[in-house]
Amino acid sequence: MNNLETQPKIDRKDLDQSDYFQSVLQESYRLNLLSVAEYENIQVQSIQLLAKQVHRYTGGESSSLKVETAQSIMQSIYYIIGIYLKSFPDADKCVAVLKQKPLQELHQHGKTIIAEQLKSAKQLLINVQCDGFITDNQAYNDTIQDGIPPFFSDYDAQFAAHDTPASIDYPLCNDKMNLVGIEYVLNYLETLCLENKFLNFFSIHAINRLLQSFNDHYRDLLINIFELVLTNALACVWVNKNSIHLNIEPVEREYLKEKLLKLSNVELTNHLHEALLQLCVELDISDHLLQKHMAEIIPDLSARLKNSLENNSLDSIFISFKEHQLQPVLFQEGTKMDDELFRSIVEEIKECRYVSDKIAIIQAEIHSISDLSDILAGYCIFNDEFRAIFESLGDMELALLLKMLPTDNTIDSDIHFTENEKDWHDRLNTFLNQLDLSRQKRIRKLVETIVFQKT
Amino acid sequence: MPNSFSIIPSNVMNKLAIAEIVECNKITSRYGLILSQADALELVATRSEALSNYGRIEFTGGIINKLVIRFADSPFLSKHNYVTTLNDLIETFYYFKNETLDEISDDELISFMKNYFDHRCQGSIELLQIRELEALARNVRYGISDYENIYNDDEEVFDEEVYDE
Repeated sequence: MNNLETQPKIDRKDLDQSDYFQSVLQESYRLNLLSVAEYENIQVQSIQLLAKQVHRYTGGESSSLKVETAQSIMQSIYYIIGIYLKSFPDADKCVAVLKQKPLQELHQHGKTIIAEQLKSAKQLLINVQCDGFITDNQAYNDTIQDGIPPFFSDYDAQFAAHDTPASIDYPLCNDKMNLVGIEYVLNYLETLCLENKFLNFFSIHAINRLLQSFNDHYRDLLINIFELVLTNALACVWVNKNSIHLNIEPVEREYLKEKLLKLSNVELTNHLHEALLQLCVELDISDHLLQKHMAEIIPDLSARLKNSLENNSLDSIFISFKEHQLQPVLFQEGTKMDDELFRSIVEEIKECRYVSDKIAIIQAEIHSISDLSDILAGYCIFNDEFRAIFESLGDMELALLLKMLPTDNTIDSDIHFTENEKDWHDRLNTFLNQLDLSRQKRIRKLVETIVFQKT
Repeated sequence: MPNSFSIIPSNVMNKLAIAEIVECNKITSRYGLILSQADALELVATRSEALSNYGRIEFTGGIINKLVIRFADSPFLSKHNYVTTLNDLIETFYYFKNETLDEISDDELISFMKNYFDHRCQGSIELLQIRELEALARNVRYGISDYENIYNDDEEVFDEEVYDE
């Protein structure tokens, strides 16, 4: 005999995940699953619960409190009840529970669930910190080391359960931003665990080369490493190459372009699914959650692919490794002079009538590149004198100065510099562009190889 | 909607509050201070207005009663200024709950108010608001543990720069 399943009256997809309790209420009221009397009863109960929580919040010492505080406590109550209601697979069951049980009880159950979630989130954070994936992406490291740990001490599960007192910068692939509070942090850590699990199939060296080839400033960028790696890995599958290399040669990209251009949207999506399956077999990925998370990239990736094929910019999606970097030149800076001495030198330079005297002082007194850049921005060199000073410098000094200049990719470079600094930056750029090409090339090559070493 | 706070009918609440206030006459009558139904209604209205003006919300009543009983024995209250003063005191109370960042409990604030009103202010609401409670609130905001000490070293307390440093 066939089992007939009743169609749920409330579709869970219609419900707001961050305001679950309220949207269940609204939806059930709209669909007449709750009578007016029942609805009002729930409202009165929530006010009573609020009064109780407020009493607890003020320790019974104050009969009144600010409206904002009361609203926040109310929101926290709704959030906690919402967490309990989410534990039921379908929303219709939630309505039944709302009718049968007092809100106080649902609130209590919600608190128990939150305590458990906090415990598992703590464990997940430890797992992420020790799972062996290492990167020098700053957002990732900041989030894991300094952003999330304070959450566990600052989170107020009683009166502000809906707050997320964590500073999370590293973006996830398909981040569920509609969640808040402990739910968000737990989901973030679970997803991050999955992403790292996937990344650990690849060598750190290959990942770093991929990121470097994606952008020289990858350390400072807010990028999702998983997404970049997975995309290139899928492309490797398409060109029948071992995916752990991650590299897509320009020729291979051309081949992919020819191949993919012919496909319709649906075919492209199917193609991506096939590649994903093949990749899972190749890397022996059996974790269903990871497979599901990997598959979540497909809708977005297929749209991006389609777009880049139309605009002939496939190189921004399938990344080719840049040539091996030149042997780096490690630069260790000389000691900076103390402020007192620096000021007296600036005064001395300012008083000089001829630029030749200024150059003589700079050559005699300045022994570190930071001091030199400070002098350039120190209101003591004017107009054409910059040019004369740049002319007196060798290739290495110019390259070092150039290295200190903001590049187009540096985020918000504009706000970090004073007008004076911007002035010498512009003048240096103009000076360099006027040099003969071979010297320009030499200096720019030097810039690429210099690595500032921290003292 | 569930997030509005005015679910419990306010007229029911007000009737209860008025009855409680009038009940206090039993205690205050020995000082010659009596509140009529209309006076009590006025006090309740003042409270509602003060709460809404200062962005506060109250769940359990009782502040008016506490003020009435606590101030009953004040030498500066008579039947002529009783209701006006109570109205002012209610408003002052909620204003300074905000100004002291909710750091001081209801009972403590009322007892400070009574003490200053009877002694330093000699029954002047203006002095109470502008001088004493203002200084108290400032001490609380500066995080001084000995915040009630607003007399002994006036210089230090009133000199904001000392605390800015």
